[in-house]
Amino acid sequence: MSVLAALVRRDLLLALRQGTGAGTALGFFLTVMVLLPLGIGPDQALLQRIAPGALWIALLLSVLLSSDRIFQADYEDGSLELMTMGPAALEIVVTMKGLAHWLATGLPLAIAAPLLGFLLNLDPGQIVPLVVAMGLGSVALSLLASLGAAVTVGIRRGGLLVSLIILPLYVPVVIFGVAASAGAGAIDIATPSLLILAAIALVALVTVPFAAAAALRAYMH
Amino acid sequence: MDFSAPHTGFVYAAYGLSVVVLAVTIALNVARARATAKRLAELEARQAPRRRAAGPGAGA
Amino acid sequence: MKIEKYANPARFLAVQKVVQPWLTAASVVLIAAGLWLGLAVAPPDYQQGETVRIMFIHVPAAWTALMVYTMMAASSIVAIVFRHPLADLAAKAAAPFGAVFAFLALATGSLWGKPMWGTWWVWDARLTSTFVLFLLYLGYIAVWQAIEEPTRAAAIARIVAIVGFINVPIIKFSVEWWNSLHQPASVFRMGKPTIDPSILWPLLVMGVAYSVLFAALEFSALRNEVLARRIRQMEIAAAQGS
Repeated sequence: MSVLAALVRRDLLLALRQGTGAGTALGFFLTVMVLLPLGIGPDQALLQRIAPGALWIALLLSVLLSSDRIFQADYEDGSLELMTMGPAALEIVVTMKGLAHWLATGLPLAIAAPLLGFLLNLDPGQIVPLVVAMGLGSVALSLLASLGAAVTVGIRRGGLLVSLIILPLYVPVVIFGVAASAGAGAIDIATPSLLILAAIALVALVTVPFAAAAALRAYMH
Repeated sequence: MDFSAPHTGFVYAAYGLSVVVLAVTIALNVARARATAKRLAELEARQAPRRRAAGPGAGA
Repeated sequence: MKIEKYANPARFLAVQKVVQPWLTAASVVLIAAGLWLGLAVAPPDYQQGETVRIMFIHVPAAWTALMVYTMMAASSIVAIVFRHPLADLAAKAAAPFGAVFAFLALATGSLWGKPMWGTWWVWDARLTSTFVLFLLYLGYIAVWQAIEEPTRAAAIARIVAIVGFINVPIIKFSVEWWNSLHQPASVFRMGKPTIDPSILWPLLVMGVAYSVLFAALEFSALRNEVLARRIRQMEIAAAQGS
């Protein structure tokens, strides 16, 4: 267990000290949420209706944008190769790195979302469902983003490829995430959506490590 | 097919597009097959004299 | 080991040479038959009129697009489990054709939708899933383009194909869910007219025709891939030898 904790702690410390990951993601999140109403117009009713969806899209993009650093630095300086020879299996390493990314990026953004939601006149009754849904969904977002990062770690300028691969994976997360966030009064929709969102997160937790580890191994030979 | 019915333009467009796209796909495939065969023949021709010169024991 | 490497591809090339003309001929005949059935024989629909004929090239395209992706995922699994030398190349060769069929499904669907629903695009489950399928194809092709080293490209491509394949039913389900949330009253369905034999036959014939056309293209393209690999090896050997 201490190995796993060490892996997560290392990534979190790096993220904290370099400030690149979470900072970039938060900055992007802020930019989108400030510019969106400016682009759409001050119609409060309209903004309130699109608030959950807009917040989810901003969250998703922020997670995606900060995902390339999950493996890049370690791949380039050879630490990743060392990790494959360590006590933990590469699949575990990948999972821990994905979770570290979630702790550093996805989760803070999910918590910050309601605050920024006020810029979009978010209905206060939707705050709790939103945070819960985003808290769960961001796990899936981070894990899937780490899969995209693993698949493209050795490719220079792999930005388009990452988007093409991740976009289809994100569609179910967004759909069920937004459905679960539209809480206020529509509990009958929210709860099943939330359960499905949890299922997606669990499936990602189980399958992504194997796929991502296989991809990393392909690059390290 | 009743050619005076409404919306036949869409039917023409759909069938026309399908035929054109598939024809182009087939043509590109045939072109690639020809280019591949040509390049392979080139390389084999280049290898043959070298093999003969080096003797029967040599060659990749 | 070297013999093993060439035995299977060589056997395939021999088989392909024999089979190809038959596949090509069969696809020509079937497509001609399908077109004739669809355009001349099938009666116009009671509700949709002549535009129902678009279904005969839209639905087979969608079927084939899905079938090809399934084949690619299966090939990728075969490549991982059995390490068959041709499995990766078969998937690589198939992808562009799958993308073409997916594109045709989308384009003909759009041309069918405009007279039917009055709009070029609807976010219904089938169209959305097909659009995502199209993106999956592009992603797969991009992997082979982006990675130079063939073994590495194959390894990554396999993962992308399998992950994408798992995702297809999930996407379909999630978009159906989403549609049920947002369109409680009127459900936009790609209304298949009641399957009357006069409608069913052209559909089935075109379905088989598109599949056979794909098979003909695939055999030819796989041959190209095998030969291209041989060419690459010869070029490398020539560069080293000289």
